[in-house]
Amino acid sequence: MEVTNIVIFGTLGMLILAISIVAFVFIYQKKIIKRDLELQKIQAAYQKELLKATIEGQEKERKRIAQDLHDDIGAMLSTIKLSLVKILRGKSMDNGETEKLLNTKDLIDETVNSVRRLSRDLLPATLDEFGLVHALQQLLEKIESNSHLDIEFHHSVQAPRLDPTTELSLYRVVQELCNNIIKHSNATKIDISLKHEPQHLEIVVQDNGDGFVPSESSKSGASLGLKNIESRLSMINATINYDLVHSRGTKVLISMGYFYQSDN
Amino acid sequence: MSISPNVGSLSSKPKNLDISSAYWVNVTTKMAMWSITLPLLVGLFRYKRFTAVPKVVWYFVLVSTVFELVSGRIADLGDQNTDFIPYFVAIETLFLSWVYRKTLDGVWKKIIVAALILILITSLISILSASDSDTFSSNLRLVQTGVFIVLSLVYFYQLFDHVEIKALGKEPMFWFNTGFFIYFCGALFFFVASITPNGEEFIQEEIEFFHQLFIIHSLVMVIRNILLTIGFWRIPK
Repeated sequence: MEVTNIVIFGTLGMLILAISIVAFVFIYQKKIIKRDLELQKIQAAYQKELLKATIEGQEKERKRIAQDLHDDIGAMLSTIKLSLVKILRGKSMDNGETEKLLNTKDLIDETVNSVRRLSRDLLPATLDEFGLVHALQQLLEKIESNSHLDIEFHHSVQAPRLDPTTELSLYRVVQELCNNIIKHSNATKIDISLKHEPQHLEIVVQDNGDGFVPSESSKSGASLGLKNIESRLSMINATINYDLVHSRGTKVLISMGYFYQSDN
Repeated sequence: MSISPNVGSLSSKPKNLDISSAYWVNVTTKMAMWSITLPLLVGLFRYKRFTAVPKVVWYFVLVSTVFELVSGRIADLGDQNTDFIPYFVAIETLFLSWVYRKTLDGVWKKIIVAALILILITSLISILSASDSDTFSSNLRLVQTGVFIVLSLVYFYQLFDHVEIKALGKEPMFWFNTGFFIYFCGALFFFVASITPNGEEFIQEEIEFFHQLFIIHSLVMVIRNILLTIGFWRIPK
């Protein structure tokens, strides 16, 4: 009888053990998944912070270079130009020398303009002073004047100011999208609209070019610009959606809830 | 496979046959026999969604059903059906080894092949051996049970590394493995009890004990079949 009891209780014991193991696996796996998700969240938050710090660092560096270009190199070039003008006025030179000096002066003028343009591109001063709408208007006017594109910009009349990081990120994103359109789309027209709703902001960039698929662009390795766009938007908790219509262009929708607006 | 007991045909017939326990043995054995149709039908309903692993598990269920029906019929006719065990063990081992080989990672794939060869050779010897085939079948069953308990545990352990599985309840292989694990754990002592040091069929001498074991074994089979049914039901689109 002892052996029979051992077998019966052994079987029941094995069953209880088996059920306990299954229950343990079920609960412990859930815990692992939960811990893993938390870890992923922490890593994502850390990466976001890192990204933010990198982009902010880049912008600071751009600002410093823009200021150096404008204040130092620009000023020095202006001084050189003034000296040259003085030389031209003060001395009597033969025609050959005068022509050479005048050419040099023209070259300095062109360099001063290039430095100013570079400085403005690196740091759009209008953005700080007048906000996103004016900065975008200025940017689009400049693109239109330098290309064959017909650009239309629609925006809310009274657009509120956003925090500087958000404004700069949105400005850079629109700038990058326009660059992509110029480089890759063969478009002749761009429509940009900026809508400020009570709860969220929406930017739509639409062109009439060839249209592109973001996933194909990433395969071809031409996705650095797109990655930059996504990084900048992720930093300010904004989203981007591509609505592709082949042969009729691309529509890009950027939206951002004010609720999630960055603190900086 | 449930070994359908034919109480009247046992070699050492007990003098005081407990009719009520024999009745429950018959009821639970029939339950175990017919419960195999549950995963079979649900699997058939989900057949279009099958990937490789559920497909093999379903074919295993199909073969088990055939064995159940044949062994049940033999028991009804009053004959012993234990001669089928080595054949069934060999086929069951082939199917389950394939399932675990497909599911487990790393060195376990090689270990499974080694275990498969071991069990198949033992099965072959068991089939060819004319004398004392019942004891040999029990030994064979015990080896097979031990191997699959270990493989089930390894599957559970490896689950902790597969963080891509977000919800275990929705993972068919989790249910299949749980079914096999509970079945083999529940049946382990049943097979241990079939072996005595002197080679006698110990369980046949104690009819009450024999009945209790059969009832437990049949219930464990029913649980396994329910878990296999859940596994088939949870196969995603």
